[in-house]
Amino acid sequence: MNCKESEQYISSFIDGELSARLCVELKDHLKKCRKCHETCLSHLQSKHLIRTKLRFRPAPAGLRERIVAGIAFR
Amino acid sequence: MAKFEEGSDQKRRDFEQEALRHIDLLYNSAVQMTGNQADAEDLVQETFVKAFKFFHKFRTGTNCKAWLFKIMRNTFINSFRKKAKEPSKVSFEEVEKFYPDQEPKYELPIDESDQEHMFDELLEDDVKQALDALPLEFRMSVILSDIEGFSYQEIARIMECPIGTVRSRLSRARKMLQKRLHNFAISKGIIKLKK
Repeated sequence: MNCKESEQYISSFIDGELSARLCVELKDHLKKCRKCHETCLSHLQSKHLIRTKLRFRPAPAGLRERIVAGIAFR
Repeated sequence: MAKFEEGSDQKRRDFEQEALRHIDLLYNSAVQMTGNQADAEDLVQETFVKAFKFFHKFRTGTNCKAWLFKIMRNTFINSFRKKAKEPSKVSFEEVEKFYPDQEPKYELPIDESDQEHMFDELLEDDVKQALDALPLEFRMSVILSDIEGFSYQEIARIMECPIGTVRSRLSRARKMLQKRLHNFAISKGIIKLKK
């Protein structure tokens, strides 16, 4: 696998969306290529930050009731 | 298809049990899509009203959460997009120009686990700003993948695009996010520029 192919697959790799065969090839490339390895880490950082920094906001009180009332007469 | 009849009490009960239980997840993503809580409430309410109207078309046993997100995405594009601050009119080329692909100019920590956590000092607002700055379809891909945990196949169905487009949007979105987050981290002194 070359760097161009590697870059194409890194995002899928960290999302667990890459085939087993391509995973092996990509891991092999990442061991040898510092630039692609760093790209992989930076994608992981982005995913990690989105998942950990954005606070979960549940629906505010009353929204469910308003929806139920809104569909009650349909 | 759902087994109830239009307008029946059973339909409302089924809808509440099957669809309304996802309200918190939809609202959470709606806040990220619209950028504010008032629009998020309107978007979620409109989504559920539409979903109820078409609930007879929902096939029981299939993925109700994905079905609701598809309705919410279409509702957002049709009704809310004009209201929201919308960077999606920027073309891919402009985005790439704005975020040129270049070697990092900051110092990477030597330890790999430190590299993964080097931006942990960034605040929610920084991450939110970076996400908001993405073109709409890129932002949606990140919300559906990283916040909601949908598979690429599910995202492709929700966004009505080929799975290859999902792969490409997520990859580009993460590159853009990373560049913007680097800039925040540098401006706040969290990471240092190479000398």
